[in-house]
Amino acid sequence: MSLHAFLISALKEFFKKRGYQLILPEELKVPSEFLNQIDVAVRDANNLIFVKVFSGPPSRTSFTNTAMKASSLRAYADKIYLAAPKELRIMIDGNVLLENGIGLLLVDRSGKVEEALPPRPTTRRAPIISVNEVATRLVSEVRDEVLSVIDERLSEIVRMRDAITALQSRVSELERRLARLEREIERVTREAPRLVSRGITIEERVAPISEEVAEGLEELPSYLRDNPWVEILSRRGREEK
Amino acid sequence: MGLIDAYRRKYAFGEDYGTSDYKFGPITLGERPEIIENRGYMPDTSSIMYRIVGGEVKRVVVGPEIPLYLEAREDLTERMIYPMRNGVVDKDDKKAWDVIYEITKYGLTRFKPRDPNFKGFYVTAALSVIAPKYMYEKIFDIHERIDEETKLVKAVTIIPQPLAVAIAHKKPTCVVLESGHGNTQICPISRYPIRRAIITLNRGGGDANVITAEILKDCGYGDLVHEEKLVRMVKERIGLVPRNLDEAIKRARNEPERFRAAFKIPGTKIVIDLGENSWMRFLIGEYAFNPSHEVFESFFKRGMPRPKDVKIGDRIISGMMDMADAIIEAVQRCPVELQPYLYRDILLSGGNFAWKVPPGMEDVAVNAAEKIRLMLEEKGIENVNVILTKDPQYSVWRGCIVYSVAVPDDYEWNWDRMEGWMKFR
Ligand SMILES: Nc1ncnc2c1ncn2[C@@H]1O[C@H](COP(=O)(O)OP(=O)(O)OP(=O)(O)O)[C@@H](O)[C@H]1O
Ligand SMILES: [Mg+2]
Repeated sequence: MSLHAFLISALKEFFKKRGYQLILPEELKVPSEFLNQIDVAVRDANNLIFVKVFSGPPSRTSFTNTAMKASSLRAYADKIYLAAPKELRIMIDGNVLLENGIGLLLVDRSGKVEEALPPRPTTRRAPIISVNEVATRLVSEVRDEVLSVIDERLSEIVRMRDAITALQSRVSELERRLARLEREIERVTREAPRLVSRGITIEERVAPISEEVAEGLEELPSYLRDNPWVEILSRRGREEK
Repeated sequence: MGLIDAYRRKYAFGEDYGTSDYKFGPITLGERPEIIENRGYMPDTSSIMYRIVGGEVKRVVVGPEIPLYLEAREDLTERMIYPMRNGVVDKDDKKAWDVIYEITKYGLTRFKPRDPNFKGFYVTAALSVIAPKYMYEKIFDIHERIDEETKLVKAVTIIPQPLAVAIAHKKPTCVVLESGHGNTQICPISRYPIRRAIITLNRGGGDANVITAEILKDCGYGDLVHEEKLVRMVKERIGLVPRNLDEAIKRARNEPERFRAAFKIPGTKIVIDLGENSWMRFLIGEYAFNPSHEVFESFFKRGMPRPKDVKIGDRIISGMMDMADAIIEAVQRCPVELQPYLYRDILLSGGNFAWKVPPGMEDVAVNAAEKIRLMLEEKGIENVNVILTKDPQYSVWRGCIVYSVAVPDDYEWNWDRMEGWMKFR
């Protein structure tokens, strides 16, 4: 189980034990782009509580980013928690949480959850409750529609981008193939006269194995030291099979 | 010993494409390569985040970064790509080739030197002996592409893994057994791999995992067997290779405490204890060497898949063939006068030969070399020198380094002989 999944299951356990009611993300009236941000959602009487999990990478910046994302959920819930593994405590910037009214839950290795900082209730409910239900629904329907159009367009762009990348890589593969063929042809043309003459004259090539002697032979890795293959391989291409 | 080019003394590079692990790195690493799992994770490109950041986010993530991208999602297994099956990548499996490109690039860029005189690595890549020609072409393409992007590849060549093992062990004439996760290659070598004599068995560490999973199910741990990693760990911790299977089972049944297989999985609360079934730990090791022993019949009857046969040319080699028969078969395909020299040195390499013998069990359990020696002896082949390579998982990479250092720079790649340097600039 990944750390993330472990944290989520510990949190669900924690809320269940306290008699909170777990809510599936699909049941929430939250714009889809915010849904990904919600790791656990529960209801306590009339209060809607969202939890965002911070599981790394372990850096202050990444923590602050996560906290900002959590804070963006304020418009939709009554309370927001950030949950993190206890080990990452030192990465946590308490001021960020306080300023944004975000609560903190720490989860230890055994899955025990403690409330290290209570959240400040948000005020989101007031306006929404006072607005006529129908109007709210209309707004959200229109928004969903707009989003779905954008979504479609984006998919199209992504598809086109993928197609272009595929074409590009196909073209450069062909270019490489061609270049290789040209080199091969060049090599064959270059070697042809020599290959022909080989039948008559046996050309002894005593080219040195290499240009330079390595300094510090004693530092060679064990498998290179006194290895007969070095000699054998250094004659490759210089002998007739 | 010959002279070693100072440039390549620094910039020889080895790459061992194994089914489960990719081992890579420059000569300057010394004795051990770096290892990452041969797999890639494809993040969800349809997520809003991905779309907003667009091309910046990686399409394929490899190496130690993978855990950072993992999400608790159902489609995890679809997004995690293991590109190889038994050492082979399918020709048209685009995703798999993308992963191979990424791990290769990851490996090379990781060791990018700052030296202004650096003109690129001399790279020797090792593939399974059964790798088809298209794999050679693709691996060259990948290096060419990486060189275009990074200028890290001065020259590249590809050799079969068993040849690399023979080179790493300084044996110009020998038989190499390379047994990794996916398969076992048996390759007689006399300065060159003797290609017509090569035998591959479609059997490796993965099959030992299969029987380990069956045994776990029998012992009431059926819920654990879906985690391949865990099964592999159990196998490596409790599996034993018996000197003689029937004898070992008898002893283990008589002295259950002494052979008890129990251990706690690190980092969890799970304790695995085979209890009175602990004798079964010998089945795991035996299966790797001889799945045709009659005790395994009952497993096959219950639906455990048999190791598959392989077709090499027009010959079919049974996945069930025991390792000694496979060695004999391979040697017999070599010239008669060479055969005694081949038996003289039999090299065992690859993780599937890394079986341990716990202290105090030497009377019943043996290591892989002793097992092969005993099996050959039983078939009348004596005086063989079976050598268990010291670090079986690293041998191939070491051989690659030697190859990179030694083959003359002006020897260009030759498709007929399948050797020489491929250069792109
Ligand atoms: N101590 C051990 N005992 C038994 N098996 C082991 C041990 N250590 C590693 N293995 C097994 O060796 C296999 C991995 O070996 P190796 O790294 O040589 O394979 P690979 O190169 O990734 O794959 P291949 O060579 O088949 O393409 C795994 O199945 C692993 O479980
Ligand atoms: Mg291998």
